[in-house]
Amino acid sequence: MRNDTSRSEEGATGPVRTAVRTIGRVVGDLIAISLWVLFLTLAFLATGWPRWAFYALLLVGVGVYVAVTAAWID
Amino acid sequence: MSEVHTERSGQRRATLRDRIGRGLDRREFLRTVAGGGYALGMAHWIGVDDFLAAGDDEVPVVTALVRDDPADPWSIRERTERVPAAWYAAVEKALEINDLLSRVGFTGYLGSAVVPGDFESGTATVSVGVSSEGHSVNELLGELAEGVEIDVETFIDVDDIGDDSEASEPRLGYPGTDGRVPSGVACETPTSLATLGPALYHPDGERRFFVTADHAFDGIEGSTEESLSLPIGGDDAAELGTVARHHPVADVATVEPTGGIEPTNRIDAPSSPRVRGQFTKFGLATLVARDAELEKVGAMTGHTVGKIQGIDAVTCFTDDFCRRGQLRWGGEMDLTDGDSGSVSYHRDPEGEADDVLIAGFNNARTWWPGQSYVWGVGAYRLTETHGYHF
Repeated sequence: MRNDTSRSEEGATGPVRTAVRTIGRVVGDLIAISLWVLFLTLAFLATGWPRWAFYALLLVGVGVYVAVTAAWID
Repeated sequence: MSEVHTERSGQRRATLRDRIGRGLDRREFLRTVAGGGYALGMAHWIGVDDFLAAGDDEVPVVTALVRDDPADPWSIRERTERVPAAWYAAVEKALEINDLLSRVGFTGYLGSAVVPGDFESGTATVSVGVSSEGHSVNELLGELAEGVEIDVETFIDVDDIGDDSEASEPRLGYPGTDGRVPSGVACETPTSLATLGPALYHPDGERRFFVTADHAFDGIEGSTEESLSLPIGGDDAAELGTVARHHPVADVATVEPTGGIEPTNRIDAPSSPRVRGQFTKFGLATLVARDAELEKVGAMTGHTVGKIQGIDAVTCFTDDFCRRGQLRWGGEMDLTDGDSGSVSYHRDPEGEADDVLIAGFNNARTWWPGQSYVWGVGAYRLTETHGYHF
């Protein structure tokens, strides 16, 4: 009985809120990374920099983004 | 024995604590891997390798539609030219991204254009116009997914052909002995004055038309008096014809000749250029790569020359729809009320001395600070969407 109550309370608040927050974070990540890819593409179109630099900056940018935003999340 | 057991359980507890500590790192690790994978996937979807990995060879590209026989408008043929593959790939990708941006249409997007670099550089720039009023980056990100409309309130439409008649006198044209009147002179609609373009052709039924800006007919579309006439001094005017079709998005109106005067492919400039055809989108891109200039003859400002500032532009600030395939060139002083309907052109690099190819129409100009150009629909766009050609 006690078990049931705690489970339904969890269902109404905890997991739902966590799920919404997680989805929000994932969507935020996707938008931020999309803009980064678009920005890099336009920059490399305009400059003609080499291919390796594109992929290096692409991944370094994602790494930096995750490292910086990880501090905000918790 | 018991000592060993305690030691073990201590180790177990330590690894568990480490794991909890590392849990955060693992989440970061997962986000980095997932984010990196998504970034690579998106880069692949955009097709960055198309231009990043382009070779050093040359590729053929159609740069113009040109008449075999200068006197026969139905003899137009595609002309191809060889251009560096890296340059072609960059311009092609910039055109694609320009189109993508205009379709996403995020809030604040007012328009964009492609500016090809020179052949050696193998580059191309996408120039994006964004309204800066009150849109924080956060708002922009939030609305990116929703595709909200564009705020046009701060822009006023100055492109009405007004009655500032104390300005200079329009250039009048007179039909020659052959009953033809050149492009670049004034023409009159029942309500306003514009510039007459060179003869425009449509392959269906081999028809030829007079042509001018559609907005010169603003307010009288659909009425029976949609006529175009040629002012010839005093209050006299010669009849040119009646409107065959309005193309409000392209801002072009085609006029069926009815008055005995025929449209011609001559332009009323000092060198009396002869229109031999038109540039394609990539033809215009090669002009930009060569830093070439365009010319025009308007009824009010006459003959002017200027640099191309952007091709395949999208402009969303004058109406509640976007205009595509626009050409930006020159400066805002190159166009005034009454010049709409004139064409921009450039010498045919392979033709005779007075042969020219049309780049596009001139229908509006910038009126805000920071930018200065004339814009109008590219001839290639008119061919793609409606089938007309010069």
